[in-house]
Amino acid sequence: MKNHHRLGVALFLIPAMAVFAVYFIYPVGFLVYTSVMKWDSITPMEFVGLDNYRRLLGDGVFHKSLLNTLAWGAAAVFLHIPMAIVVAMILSRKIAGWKFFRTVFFIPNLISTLALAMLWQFIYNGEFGLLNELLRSVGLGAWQRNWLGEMHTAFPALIGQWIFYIGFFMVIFMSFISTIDPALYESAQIDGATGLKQEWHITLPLLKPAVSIAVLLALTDTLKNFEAPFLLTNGGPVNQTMVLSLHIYNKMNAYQYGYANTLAVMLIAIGAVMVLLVRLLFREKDV
Amino acid sequence: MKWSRPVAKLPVYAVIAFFFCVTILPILWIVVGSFKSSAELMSSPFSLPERWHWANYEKAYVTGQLGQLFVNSVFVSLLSVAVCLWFATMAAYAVSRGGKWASAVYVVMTAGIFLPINSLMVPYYLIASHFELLNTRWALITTYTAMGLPLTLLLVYGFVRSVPKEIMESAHMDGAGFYYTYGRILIPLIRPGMATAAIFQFLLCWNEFLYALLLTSDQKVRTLQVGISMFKSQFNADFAAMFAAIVVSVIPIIIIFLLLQKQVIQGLTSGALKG
Repeated sequence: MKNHHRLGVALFLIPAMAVFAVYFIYPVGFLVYTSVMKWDSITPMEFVGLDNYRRLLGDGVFHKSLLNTLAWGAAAVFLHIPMAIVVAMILSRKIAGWKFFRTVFFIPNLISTLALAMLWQFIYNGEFGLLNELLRSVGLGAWQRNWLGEMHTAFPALIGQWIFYIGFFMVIFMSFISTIDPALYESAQIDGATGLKQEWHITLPLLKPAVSIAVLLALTDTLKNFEAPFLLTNGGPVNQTMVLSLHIYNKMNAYQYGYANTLAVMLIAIGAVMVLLVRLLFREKDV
Repeated sequence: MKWSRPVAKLPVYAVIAFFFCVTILPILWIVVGSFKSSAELMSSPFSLPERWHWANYEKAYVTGQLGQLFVNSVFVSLLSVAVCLWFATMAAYAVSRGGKWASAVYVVMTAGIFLPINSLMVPYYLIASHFELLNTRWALITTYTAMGLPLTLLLVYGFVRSVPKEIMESAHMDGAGFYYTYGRILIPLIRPGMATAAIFQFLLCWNEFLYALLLTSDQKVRTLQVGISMFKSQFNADFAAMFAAIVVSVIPIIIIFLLLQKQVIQGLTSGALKG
């Protein structure tokens, strides 16, 4: 019955393809084209070859935002995902109230990054922030500080306002764990393997495909960071918390459209490299 | 499951308690804080309000024009969900009935999921400006529909594929044409799946901030997210009123989630399994 309706198939694909062409294919081509132009959006574009790319080499803000993106990605892979795995393992053992906790841990993932950023602004505030109040009330008043305003705490604070919202990946891991044959755990139990050993030797290896997907999603999410740095620190102090999206946004607002698009091309390239690396890494391990 | 796996109680509950404290308590604290006066919020942040009062909500509604923002968010989100699902179900059906090139189109479009959408700030601004949509709700509806299309297509196609072949074939035998099969047979069958995809698209539209900031500038067309971000200056750091606005912006999402939790989790799982 396939191929009997060429016209119908084509007609039904047209709307989605049109949207995709206008909002994905054309913009990416446009980015690459304008990345070799000097362009302020008012006077006509001027071809400058690879000048914009050369400018990247000397752009300290770009370097800092690149480093921050990598650090954020590392935090996602080595802290965020492992925490999600541990909590998923615990809740999968059907401890009392596991359904309640699954819902509760997932809820922050439904709330906009903007609303959460507003909340953490209040938590980190140097004058009346919750964190400082908490420290003072337990006798650690000496640790109080303006968490988002100081050079060495601003970036960790930015990571801290997101890293514990593990619900999204936890749900993915839990559904994977639920497909594992319980007989595996039973026989391990008979052989005398403790709960921890069971998780290490049975659950973790079988979770590998889920981990590969989670790493991919977490890394691509890292590239989308904008709201939290924009609202909490605006990249400061002294670009300590700058990320690529915010750098692009600032260049766009400064009417450096050409250079903004060069940065955007870099963002896409980094995303592509990440996807390829993750696919490669997890494929090799499977063999 | 009859057989339950044993757990070391104390450390396990310590971990759960920790995550409970860092994830949900601050959010509950916002809810409580929205019923305090601003002065009380500063002076005794951890206490329950002395008197629960709705003044902050009133202020957010009157000064912050929360009602207008809310209506804009609903309008943008619902229309974008409708258009996105319409295009995606048509495309998914076409891919399931089409040949190799239709499948190739599917692969290319779903690869769009991995494109860092923040990189398209300048092009999306120019596209909206070209179609003279800047500073209208239509700029957001079109942009969000496009942004959500790859994931919606992936989810919907998963459900289309899970429809038993026999049903489609017997429909064909009975003389059901291409278009009739789509509207009268396929759509009713995948309705639960469409609900899942709809929730994800709704979440995207409701919570999106960057493009709402770039493409709209007038209070009349702004959505909740951008509107609330402006409260900071509007209310002169009146946090209590801001909290009230945040609570209002979050409530619809929480209600939808609690009602349709099963579909959300199912969608996450099926989406991830195929990813």
